[in-house]
Amino acid sequence: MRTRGPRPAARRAPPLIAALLLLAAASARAQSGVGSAGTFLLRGGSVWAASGQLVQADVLIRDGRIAAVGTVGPVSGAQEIDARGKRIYPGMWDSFTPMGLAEIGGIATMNLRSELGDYNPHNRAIVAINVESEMIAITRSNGVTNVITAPGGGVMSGQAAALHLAGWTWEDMTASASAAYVVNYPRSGGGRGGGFAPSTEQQSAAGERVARQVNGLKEMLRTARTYDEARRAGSEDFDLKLESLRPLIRGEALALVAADREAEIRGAVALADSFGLKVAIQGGDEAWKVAELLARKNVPVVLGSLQESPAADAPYDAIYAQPGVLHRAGVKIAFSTGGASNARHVPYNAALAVAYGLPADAAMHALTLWPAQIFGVGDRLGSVEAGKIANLFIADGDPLDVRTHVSAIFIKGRSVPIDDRHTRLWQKWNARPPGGG
Amino acid sequence: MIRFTRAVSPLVVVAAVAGFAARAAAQDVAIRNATVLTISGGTIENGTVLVRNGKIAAVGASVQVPAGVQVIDGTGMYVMPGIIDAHSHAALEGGINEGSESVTPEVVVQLRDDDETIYRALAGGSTASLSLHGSANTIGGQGAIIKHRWGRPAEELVFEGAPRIVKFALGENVTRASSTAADEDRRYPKSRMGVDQLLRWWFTQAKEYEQSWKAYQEAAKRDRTLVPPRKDLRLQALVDIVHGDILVHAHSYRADEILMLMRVAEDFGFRINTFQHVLEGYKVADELAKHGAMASTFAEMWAYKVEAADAIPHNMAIMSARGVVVSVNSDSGERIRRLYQEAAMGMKYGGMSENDALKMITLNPAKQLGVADRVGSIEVGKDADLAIFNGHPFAPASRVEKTLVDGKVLFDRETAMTLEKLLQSRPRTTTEDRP
Amino acid sequence: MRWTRLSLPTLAFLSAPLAAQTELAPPRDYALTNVRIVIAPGRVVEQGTVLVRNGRIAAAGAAVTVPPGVAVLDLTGLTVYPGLIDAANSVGLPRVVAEGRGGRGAAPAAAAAGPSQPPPELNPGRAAADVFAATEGDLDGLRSAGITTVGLAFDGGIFPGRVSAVNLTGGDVAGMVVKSPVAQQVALGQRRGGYPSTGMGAIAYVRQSFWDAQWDQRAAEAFQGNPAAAQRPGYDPEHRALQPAATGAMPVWYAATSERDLRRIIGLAAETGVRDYVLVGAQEGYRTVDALKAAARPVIVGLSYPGLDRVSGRAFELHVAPISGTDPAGAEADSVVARALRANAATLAAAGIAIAFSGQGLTPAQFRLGIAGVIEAGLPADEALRAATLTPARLLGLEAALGSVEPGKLANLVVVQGDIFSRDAKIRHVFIEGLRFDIPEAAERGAGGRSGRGGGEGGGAAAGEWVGEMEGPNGTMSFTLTLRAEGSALTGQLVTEMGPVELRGEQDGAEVSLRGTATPPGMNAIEIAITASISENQLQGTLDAAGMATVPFNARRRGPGIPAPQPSETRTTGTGGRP
Repeated sequence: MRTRGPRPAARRAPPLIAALLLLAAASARAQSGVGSAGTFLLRGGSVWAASGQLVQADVLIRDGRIAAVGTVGPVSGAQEIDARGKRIYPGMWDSFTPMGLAEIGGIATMNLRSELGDYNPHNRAIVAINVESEMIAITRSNGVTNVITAPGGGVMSGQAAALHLAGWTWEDMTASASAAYVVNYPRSGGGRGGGFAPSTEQQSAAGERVARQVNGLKEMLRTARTYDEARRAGSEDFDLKLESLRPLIRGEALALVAADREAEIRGAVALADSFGLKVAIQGGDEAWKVAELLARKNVPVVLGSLQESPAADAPYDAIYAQPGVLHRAGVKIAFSTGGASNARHVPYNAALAVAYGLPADAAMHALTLWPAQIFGVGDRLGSVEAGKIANLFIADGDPLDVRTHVSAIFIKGRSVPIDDRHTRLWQKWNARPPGGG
Repeated sequence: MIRFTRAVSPLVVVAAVAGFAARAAAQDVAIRNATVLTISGGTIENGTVLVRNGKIAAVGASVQVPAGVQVIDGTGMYVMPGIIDAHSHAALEGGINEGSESVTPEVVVQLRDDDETIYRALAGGSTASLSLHGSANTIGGQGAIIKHRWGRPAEELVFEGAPRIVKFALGENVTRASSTAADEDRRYPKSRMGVDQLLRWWFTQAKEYEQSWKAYQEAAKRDRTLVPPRKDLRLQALVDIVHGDILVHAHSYRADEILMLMRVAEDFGFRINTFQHVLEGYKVADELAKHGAMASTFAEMWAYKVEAADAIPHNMAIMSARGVVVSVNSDSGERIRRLYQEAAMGMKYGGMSENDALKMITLNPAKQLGVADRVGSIEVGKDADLAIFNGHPFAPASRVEKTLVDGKVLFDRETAMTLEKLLQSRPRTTTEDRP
Repeated sequence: MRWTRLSLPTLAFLSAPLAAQTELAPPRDYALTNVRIVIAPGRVVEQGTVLVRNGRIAAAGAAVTVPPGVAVLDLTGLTVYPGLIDAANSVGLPRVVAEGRGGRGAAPAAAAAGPSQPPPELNPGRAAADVFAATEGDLDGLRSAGITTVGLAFDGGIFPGRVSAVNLTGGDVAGMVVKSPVAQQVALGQRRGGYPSTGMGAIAYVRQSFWDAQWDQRAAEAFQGNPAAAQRPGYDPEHRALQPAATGAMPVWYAATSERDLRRIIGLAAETGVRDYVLVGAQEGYRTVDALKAAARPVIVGLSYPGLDRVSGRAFELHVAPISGTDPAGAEADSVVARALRANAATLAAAGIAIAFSGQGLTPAQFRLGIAGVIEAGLPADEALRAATLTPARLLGLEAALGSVEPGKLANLVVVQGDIFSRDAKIRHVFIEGLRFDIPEAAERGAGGRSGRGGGEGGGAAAGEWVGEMEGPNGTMSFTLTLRAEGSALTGQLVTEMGPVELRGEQDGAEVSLRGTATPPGMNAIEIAITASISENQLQGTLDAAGMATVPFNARRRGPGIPAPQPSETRTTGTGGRP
């Protein structure tokens, strides 16, 4: 008798299907990870204050906000959490990730982070966030409560968003829907040490491309300015892209410009000068060469991952020591991992910087208050202060110390359980009876 | 300026910085008054490590330092055994993957002595590593266990007396899962099933090869004019693997393929020495322990490809708790510089003890490389491969101050080129604003 | 192949160009009179006569009777040397690369090979003479540098073929070949399209192939001796071709540049039992003199040097050097390395190693001037002459026929005004098997002295503006090169359609070397190295990009009133050809 079996799936599908099944299986549990609202009183812990000091204080969370920090009497209806012997920190930030936009590497359909064409300033990352992304829960489990999630590609990739890493929908997760306009300054090559030298064919084509792009960028900005002026004068001619650029061209919104080499960074600063833009540098490998310029122009730097090797003839500690150099020169910095899978470990980037010269309190600020300020939400996030949104976590030690354990997380004032794909796999396989049973 | 040249010729200008040259010659040194993390014998506060002729001569709180021995002040410092990386591709030339065919154990990696990755590894406290063939092949080539003897020629990097090691690989890299080429242009095997059968076919060939040589040797006793069988380097290497003369390190991800390889090995009478990456090792930890395989893995890497989707950082702790000898490795010229941070994750994820976590970058990789009699802990008689940190290696503000190999200081932050010193030496004008 | 005496008619028939067979064969009888004769290194006749009959040296000395009917050339004031021998050069040979290979990830290419044709990298049976096809321009260029014999050797591959020796008479190839095959070539090259594809794979492959060749022979002999009892052996043309080398019947020429590859090759030779071998290239030999001395094999030293930042051991200087106020990877470190590289041949000779020279990768002019550079770095002039004449003759198996001005040998001679390795030397005539070639003055005029000592009659200074064309990614592209000199140090700029590149370097006599980093927008920085020699208003050499592409680099001086050199009208030389 001939048995009928399933038709073999299309060649490319099996890995995708397998991956989706793996992830879907966990989704039911993931929904409970959004956290529960309520009134919470964290008693007896040491709060890391905005001054950079650890201060004995209670923290009252109510209606999604930090209601009080200090000595708090009993509060009716509040769930008391014993924080004695522990520390309370503002939720940390990974300031440049594809969170929610990218999942398993190597699967094209799981990485829809960039759009066609060089100029997409109107594209907003916030609308494409996959709330069920495994990375979200994994990231917040280590006290990283907020990320900047950014589109990629082209010259103007779109608008990055600041996310709360817990919520039912992307609206629920929005800390700032349009935190920055991502611009990739036309660049020469792959960036950091490593990679192959391209063939001579590739060089010439790339040279033309870059020159074209710089001019195109300036042209786009000029057009945006003209359009904004016309619109303010009452014109009704409407263009989606140019309309989206109006906050940028008016100097209200932030341009987050990816630039690594000295020439690129200078180019970005010059562009900001001539068009009156507010700008921050993303990446900034050679920012140390122009630290004074950046400080004088108040241009912050969102550092790329410190887990990279410097160029062959650079000092061995160049990338580790740069944050300290920039900070001493007066540049505001923030840390990022550039990825979603290990955004949870962004504090260990900061730890490397501390080992090589960045003061510890500056490191913590660069993980909390300064990114909040850079991305325009410093009034309501980034420190444990009354009135701010209650994004914070409880830990048994210094968050920069790998050995520290996070025991509780609060996002938007909700108590979020520490439950993610990794903790679940750990619990399952840890419970396997020994001896191969 | 220093030149390291093998030929001292009157025609070649050779200059040496006196301090470095002197230190390079010294194999007697004492590190005094430091916190010594011995790994095998507990932690010694205010301890001294005495090195004579490149070996650890004494360790303790009250060690006498003979006159004339150079002293390094260890006050406030931590001394640990030099970190060992069980998975690296540094210091190689002439290729990393002989990917033209899927089984090539006759190929041996070639060492180069002037890869700055070695220097930077020393700057991160790493003193030895296993430099492997890549993961393009089911059975790749033989690797090289090296000490990071920066400044010495390539032949002297080889860790003398260390066993031979060959690289196996399983999964997506070997089957070229992301290839879009047509079938007739693909290299066999393209599935995990094919990998299993390919292994079995080759080891069967190896068995026949060995038998043909044995038969020849018997027959040659009676007839000296017999022509021996053709000497085949590839099959001979496979025979050596079966006999355990070449240790197998196998790149692997998924639990099913880990299990498959152990069974193939058992069927042919040998053992897998160490599984590399082994990100799903936690699912088959008991089987690994029973087979006798060790594991060398990543702390935090996952999600970069499908076969890494189930990777969890608790992998190390689970395998370790079930009796597997676990190390954490770099597989990267970048990560080799901060393996101490990676090892600390064993404490964070799964609650390993501090000493067990430290073992993952010292004694355990030493075992996996077959050199645990020489390195991996601070014990009298072992090589003086040491890393001196300015704080506990797991503490966030810690960095390496000095690294010694065979008792010689080969990295010293005081004399190294650092960003700070570079900035101080640069003329001011280059950092100012230009119009 | 042993040299055999051929009668005049046969010789003439074999060596005359095909067209010339319908004309009178050119003469091969001359008397060079009143000339200084360098018979061999250390044997000089201040004033004498060289008599050439039937293409051979009939006599050379102070008192030679010139028979009637022989054309007499009065070479007062000139010197005659044995013709120079470039011991290993791939001039006129095809590149050792499979045609039509795909990009990364593409299927293994069928290459120019079909199923029955071996790929060019694995073709040990192929003799260079079988595929030699140099242009007259190539030959002109070689001759105008005084080179009369070349050891044709493929560049690259693993078993690319066999060395052949040719005299540069021109015309029919058959007439040029003096000995073929000379030796089996082995190199640790990379290839695509199959095993081995890496350097480490190549070593395993070479090892296995030599053993297989030896085994095949043994198995074939056993079968011949006793077909009934022995196993029937297979037939592998590659192993068959390797058998002479594997069994010691043919010498092996191993190519290796870096110090580590040299040591690997020496180890490989020992493992495979090859005793009669020569090392070719060995540009980093000075870094491993002990190993070369212990191996005690001759070395054909390449005069084309790797880029300074690719020399082994450079990383040591970057990361161990004490902090200085300047960029640690600076000019000082580079100049030490450059000096050591250029002194390589001298270093090896001083250690007692027998050396010859290879002009692979250089123009003929650079070959001669490269030897001049080695003499300046300390090689005694006589040793240099030996390395360019007698020793290569011996390595090519032709010591009885070439390498000195002695009766019985072939009349390969070069007539020079000045010392042959001086930068001012002018090569006037070249004789190859008695055929005469006149070298016109414009093409082979050394630079007017070293820069820094006054440029002489001009033409010798690198400073100034140059223009030219070179192969770019989109075909030929023009460039301008502007250089400024301070003493022998040069700085300047190369401008092409891809943008400007800042350069720095030095001029050493007529030799110019420049380095810079190109940062074409959009791509990684690329290290550029230009090596060229100045000849009046020409700057000729090569441009190396990141060690991956090497293109010819030809520039002419820009400026009013300085015309470009006109192509020569005689059939002899053009404007200096390139290999």
